[in-house]
Amino acid sequence: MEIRKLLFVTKFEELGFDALQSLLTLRNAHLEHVVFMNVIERDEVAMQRGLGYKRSEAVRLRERANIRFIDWAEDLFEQGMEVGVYIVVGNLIPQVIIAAEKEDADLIVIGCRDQSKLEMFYSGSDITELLKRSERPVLVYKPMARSGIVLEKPFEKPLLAVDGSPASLRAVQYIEKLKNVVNEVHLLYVASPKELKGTSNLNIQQLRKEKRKELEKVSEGLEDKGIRTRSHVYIGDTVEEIERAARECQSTIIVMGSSGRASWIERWIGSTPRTIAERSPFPTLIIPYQGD
Amino acid sequence: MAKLLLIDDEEANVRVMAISLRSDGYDVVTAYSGEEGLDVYEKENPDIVVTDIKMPGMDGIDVLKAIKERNPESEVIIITGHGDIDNAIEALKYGASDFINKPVRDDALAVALERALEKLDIKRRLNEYTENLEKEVSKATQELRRQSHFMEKLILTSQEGIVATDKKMKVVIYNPSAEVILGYEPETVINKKRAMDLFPKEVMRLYVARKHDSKSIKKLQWREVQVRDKNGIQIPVRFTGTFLYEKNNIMGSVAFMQDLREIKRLEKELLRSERLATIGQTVAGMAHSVKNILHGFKGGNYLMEIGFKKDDTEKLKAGWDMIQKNIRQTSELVMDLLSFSKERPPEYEPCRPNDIARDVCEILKETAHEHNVRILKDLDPAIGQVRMDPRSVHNILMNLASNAVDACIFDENIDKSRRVILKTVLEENGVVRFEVKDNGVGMTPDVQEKIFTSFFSTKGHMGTGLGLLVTRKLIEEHNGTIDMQSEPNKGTTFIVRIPFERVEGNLVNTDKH
Amino acid sequence: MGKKILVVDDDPDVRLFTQAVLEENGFTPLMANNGEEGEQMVKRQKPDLIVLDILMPKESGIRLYRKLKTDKEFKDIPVVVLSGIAEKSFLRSQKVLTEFGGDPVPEPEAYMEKPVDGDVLAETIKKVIG
Repeated sequence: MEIRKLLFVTKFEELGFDALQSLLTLRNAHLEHVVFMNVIERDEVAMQRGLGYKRSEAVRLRERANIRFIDWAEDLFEQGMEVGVYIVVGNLIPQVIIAAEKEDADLIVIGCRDQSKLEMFYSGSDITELLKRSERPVLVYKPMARSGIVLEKPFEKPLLAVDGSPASLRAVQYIEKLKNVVNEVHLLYVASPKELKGTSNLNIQQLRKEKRKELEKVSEGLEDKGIRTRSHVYIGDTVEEIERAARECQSTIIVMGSSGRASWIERWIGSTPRTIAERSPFPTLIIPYQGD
Repeated sequence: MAKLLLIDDEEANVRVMAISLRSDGYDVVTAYSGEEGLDVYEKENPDIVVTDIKMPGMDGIDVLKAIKERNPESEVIIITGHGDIDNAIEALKYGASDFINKPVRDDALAVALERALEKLDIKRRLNEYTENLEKEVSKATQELRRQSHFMEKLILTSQEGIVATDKKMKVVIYNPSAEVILGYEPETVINKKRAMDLFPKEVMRLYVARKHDSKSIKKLQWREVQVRDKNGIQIPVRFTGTFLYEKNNIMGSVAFMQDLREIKRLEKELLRSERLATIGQTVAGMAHSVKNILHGFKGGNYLMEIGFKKDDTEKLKAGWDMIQKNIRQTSELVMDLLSFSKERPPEYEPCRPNDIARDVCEILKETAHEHNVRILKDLDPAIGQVRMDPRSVHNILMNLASNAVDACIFDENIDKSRRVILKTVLEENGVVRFEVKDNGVGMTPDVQEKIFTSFFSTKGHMGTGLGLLVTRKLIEEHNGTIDMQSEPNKGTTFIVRIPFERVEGNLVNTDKH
Repeated sequence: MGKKILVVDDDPDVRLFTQAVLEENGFTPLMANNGEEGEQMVKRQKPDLIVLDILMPKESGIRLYRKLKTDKEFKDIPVVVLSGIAEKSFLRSQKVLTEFGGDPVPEPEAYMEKPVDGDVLAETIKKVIG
């Protein structure tokens, strides 16, 4: 599974040309085709409180998106890329899923606004829905931290969260494909404090040692493929520790597997990948695993 | 044929650029890192270097410095990230000849290269000319060198302006660079003026007393200040000054100045060129839009012609729909274009700002009403008739007020009663203050910071639209100011202050409406 | 029956217009929505000329053009590009693709940047098709 085709879902405000440009580093991992997608959502063109559908507004938004995409496309064409465009009216996530299927995209890129809580709640639920429904890897792209600056090489220093599950092994395989794009992979295992057999330093050291061993297998596999790795074991709340690790390792992106099968469990205990994707200031790449 | 060195760690970029440059007739050599770039530079001795700014290891700035060290005459063009103005300025400070934004488009690169070639040519001719001169001068110079006036020469030829005084602050040294900055002729300064005659008070305060530690002269702090030249014109300099002591007794003072005019000019030019570039992009975007619209018209027209000829209602209707759609788009585009027309000095004429505000409210009332937004007026009756450019004021208010209505429409909170207030106030000193206040979505500090600096562009991050850019331009042309206060979920207030000319004998003419 | 002309464009308005132009001038228009459909149509219908848009879903005109012009069977079918994408970008893109390891392809028989007059389009097609 190489990243040949990328579906770039944008509303322009949150995911602009600079983000797109940075993703072109994936050309070293066989990227050759970018499909732009702009979904004009019904409520943007609906009149207040469901008074009906404003056709002229839809036409206007469509034209505006079209002009931007033509401009972007010329740039990408001139760099030898293949380019496609979708501008559709409808509900964001279903339309994205349809387009991803139609185009057989290897990666969906979507922006997540880092703005007020209220807005995060709204756009967050979109991200959740997409992660729930997509059978394809999803990159939730964010301008880094508060600076608003887009990284030039987003895949340079990924933090790969591993927990030994089939889903996370899938994520490891995915990283292998990005061999020519990543510089150094930081592997992270977050152990739950419940796994500690006691509170002494010795217990902690023991747990670390144990988990480090598990990471070693993964790390050896990656090193065999010629990818530099570093391993870390953190103990604590999964979401918090992943974020802490990303900060401490100065990661450019967080990568994790997500198990579709366990979704019924996740409904009860909350899903780490989704929480990270929605809340973390880091770009997050989620690799779904459908089971066998 | 000019030789060009391309440095970028992205191999693909280098290959793509090399293709088009070779076809433009350049001899192109390439490197994939700063270090490799320097090696290639030594070996190939290219005329022009084009380097990416962000690279692992040696970055573009390092390369620039290293190359300028080897040969200050080299032309180095820096490729910067989109909107990365800080690095661009940094690069220019270190002597880059130009910078271009990523992604590099052929035309932008071509222009930069042409300029660099031109510069090289001028330098070459200058060199030929000075070489002759130098031969003549060198004889004399050698003579000079023997007479060991080394220190004096050092001061004379220093790029920094140096002003030294005796213990009574009377100027004893005033070198040519200082003359360039301050403009006074040396004979009117040396032994005639005191330091305080040359520098304003706040600059004099920067003289530091270093009584007990003569070594600390190394640690002098440079400050950016304004000095005034002979004609009273403010000149930006980096300044440092100190009193000189000998065994606890003051023996004089010395001040150093670095002329910042060139750098400031470059910074300004950079901003302007950045602005022009975004305008260029905007126009390019519009060109696409015009093309599309025209195509729509032609298509619709064609269908209608056939429809008439063959009495085919279906074709007629299809054609008519197409034309209608494009009429809407044309009117929008024309409005955009009009508001972004080239600079225009304000045309002052008698007008009533309150009437303009009323007009704007009237125009927006319908849209606002449709979305349950109330528009309120709070107009100062003391304003009356003044001389301003009514069209500018109208556009400014229209832009801000329709933004404000939008901000209310975008607000998700349905319980809130949404409103926009237009307020006018007569301020002292012949200024009218306009306030446009909404209780809509508001802006986060991040957005506020960018709102006036990020221009509309199809490639930009923010997409604030032409609106605010135009508004600010209009206000600046009218010598006015614009300020903003905003809080997320609370709302935004724009405050515009515009000076007016008085209408003869008619200033405090009360508002009749 | 007039000559068969394949129109590959994803914009319904443009298809409507181009179709009308072709019918008006005695050609038999065939329609395709995107590059992939276009390719299938070429194989099945062997058109006498192709009017090709560039920016489309599935497969852009740039790739389809390359495929056709490097295929022994189809390389002689004349292509008229009708697009909002600038000719310069099209040519540059072909040059870059060739450099990245492809066969060189000739320039299209005609390149028309939108906006295009119906009559001019018809004339161009007639001239190309001979």
